[in-house]
Amino acid sequence: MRRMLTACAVLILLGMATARSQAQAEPAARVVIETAPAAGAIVPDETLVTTRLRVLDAAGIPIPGARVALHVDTPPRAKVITTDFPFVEDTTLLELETVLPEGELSFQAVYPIRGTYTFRTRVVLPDGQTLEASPVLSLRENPDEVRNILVLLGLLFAFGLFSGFVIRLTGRPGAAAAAAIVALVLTGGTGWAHGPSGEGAPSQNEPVTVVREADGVRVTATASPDSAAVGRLTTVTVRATTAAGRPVAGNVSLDAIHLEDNVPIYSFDLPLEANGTARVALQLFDGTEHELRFALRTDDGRAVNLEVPLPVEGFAPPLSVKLRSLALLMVPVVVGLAVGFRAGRPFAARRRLSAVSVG
Amino acid sequence: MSRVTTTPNAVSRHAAGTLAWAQASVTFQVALVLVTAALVLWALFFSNYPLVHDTFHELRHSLYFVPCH
Ligand SMILES: [Zn+2]
Repeated sequence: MRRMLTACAVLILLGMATARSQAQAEPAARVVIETAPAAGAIVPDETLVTTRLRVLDAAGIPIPGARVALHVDTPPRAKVITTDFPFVEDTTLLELETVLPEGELSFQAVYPIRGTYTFRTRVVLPDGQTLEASPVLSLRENPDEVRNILVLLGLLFAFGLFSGFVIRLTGRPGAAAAAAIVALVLTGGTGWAHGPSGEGAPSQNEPVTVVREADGVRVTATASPDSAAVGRLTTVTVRATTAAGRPVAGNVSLDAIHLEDNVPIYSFDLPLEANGTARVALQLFDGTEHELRFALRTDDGRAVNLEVPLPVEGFAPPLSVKLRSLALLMVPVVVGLAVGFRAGRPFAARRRLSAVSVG
Repeated sequence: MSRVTTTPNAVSRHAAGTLAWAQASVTFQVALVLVTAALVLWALFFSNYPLVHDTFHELRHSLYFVPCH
């Protein structure tokens, strides 16, 4: 991963903040956030991105022992043009608070949509000073999606053009009526296919807890609430103790797996706090089955793995969002129809003329 | 050479009637095309009907401004 970061060697995000210290004129510390691959090479909802946050002193050396609270906000909602995950817009993607023993934190995440993510960071330095920064990460849409929508809009324009031309020429738009009936039948159904059904406000559920004891280490993993929902954070807590209940020191890696594709969409490696816990809140943005996989390693070499199943509730987009997108798709049909109708005029006149001369 | 046998009055009356019918018919047909297009697009991209939703799931996610969930 380190190799990948240096290979890319592109600084994407540079959030700088001055430690709040009246005595000092020089910036005492700054927060730097980098991604690999670089922002331009990230495909939303596809690329597993390594994000590295570092707390550096004025000389650019990481400050060990800093404490960071990170909130990643998803891109704001656009007025007209939606993304494919409208419920993800304008929400929080992840939240975590942890100590950085070596002054840096790396995690992996799939960023679900295009737009500008804000990394609100608050760092407490070992000497008690705090600094705040809000660097941003701007992602472009998948070029394939841009191409696809242009092709679709082109096809719709062609359909409009053809219809307009035919209407002007013959006054009969073919099998339109039959198609309308078929479409009506198809839209008649209700329900939701992808993931458990849900409409409106997400339901609140009880937390789910899985406990495993091995090698004298007892690990408790909790996901709260037990059914995650698109647009909402799921808080994941892991606690490691001895059989007697004393906290153990170590690290825990957490992977959130999208089971349908069997790929991780988040991957964290966090140190356990003094009370033996690590916590992260994350948004699972696809309404389907997921699994949280924990791998705990204690400082004295013991290891415990455990899994927590986590279904994610998806929601049909709000009607207003659907209607707006439908209106956008109808624009090329209307324009094509008008152009085709105008273009058909001379042909229609010629037809009438020949009809008169024949009659 | 052909001879026109109808009176000028009858011709203009007939033409006016045809024009009115054609205009009404064109409006109806344009409306029909638009409604059909809207319904097909709705069924394809915005329907909650499980079979349709799942069939076009990937397609929906691959189109810039078509929302899925
Ligand atoms: Zn979807």
